Amino acid sequence: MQISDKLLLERIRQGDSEAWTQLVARYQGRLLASARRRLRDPNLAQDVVQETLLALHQAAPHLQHSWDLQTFLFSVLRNKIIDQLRKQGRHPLQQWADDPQLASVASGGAGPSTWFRHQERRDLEARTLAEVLQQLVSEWKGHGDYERLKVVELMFVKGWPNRQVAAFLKIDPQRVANIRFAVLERIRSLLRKRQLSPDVFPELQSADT
Amino acid sequence: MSDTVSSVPLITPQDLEAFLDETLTEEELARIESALREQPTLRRELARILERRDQGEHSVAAIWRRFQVSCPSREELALFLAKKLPRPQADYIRFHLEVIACAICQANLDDLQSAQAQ
Repeated sequence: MQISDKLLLERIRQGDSEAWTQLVARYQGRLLASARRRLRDPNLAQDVVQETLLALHQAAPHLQHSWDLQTFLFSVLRNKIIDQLRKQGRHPLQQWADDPQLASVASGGAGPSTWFRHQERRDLEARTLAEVLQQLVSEWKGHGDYERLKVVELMFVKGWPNRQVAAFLKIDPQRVANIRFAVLERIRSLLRKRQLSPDVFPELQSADT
Repeated sequence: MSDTVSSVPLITPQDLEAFLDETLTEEELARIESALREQPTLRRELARILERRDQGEHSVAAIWRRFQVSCPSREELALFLAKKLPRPQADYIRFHLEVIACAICQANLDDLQSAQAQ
């Protein structure tokens, strides 16, 4: 039976090198697959993956138990890939460096915000919403309600309006509207139960588009 | 796949967020980059998103992708490859890979395929 990520991490914290080898074997392949696709250079891909694993090794003693390891590793890898693309002048935003509307904000020209909230606070809010969404997704998957899951994913992750979701899934637009309304209500209620105001997330305000 | 898009898929602010976060598959990143090159209005939208981020505004789409809210497990992906999942579940995974264009699941699938080939 495969040892859980949490247990592996615990053993790594205690200096168990075999646990580290197991963790690398578990994650290296998928990280390399992602880096190779984006960087199109096997050596560079290998480098960013090594840097990512090194970052995990350094962070391991401080990593919170609530962190999902794959989420952590892919977040670090994404940043490493973005850095690498920038170094090579291949980052997509660099091609519009002369575009005044993008240059002003991409360079940080927008200035400090009056309502900037501390990053730690923002992370906690994001994590709370993620937990609520994971709870709902797990329920829908458990009930085999993949239609609802697709509706919600198209709505939130793709940002599609009701009519497009309905046309794509070939279902009644009213059904999509009902799902949207019910899910928004449920999310708002679960957030309140966790002492977090839904107002923190502007997209959770509107019932429809 | 069983679900098909009837027209050319639109590019939404949520797509642009994912483009900025590099959380899309290579094909989807290329599609959005090409649209951005051709459409100044889309670049204006991208600038607005960057501004909102600078102000600390949350995005549900970005949180969903970052925390892999609906990603199938590695074991499910292996069963998907082996065609051993019930149809609704397999359809959903195909949807998640092709329509949501999840880069992390695509990387896992690539890795599983390459391990299978060895």
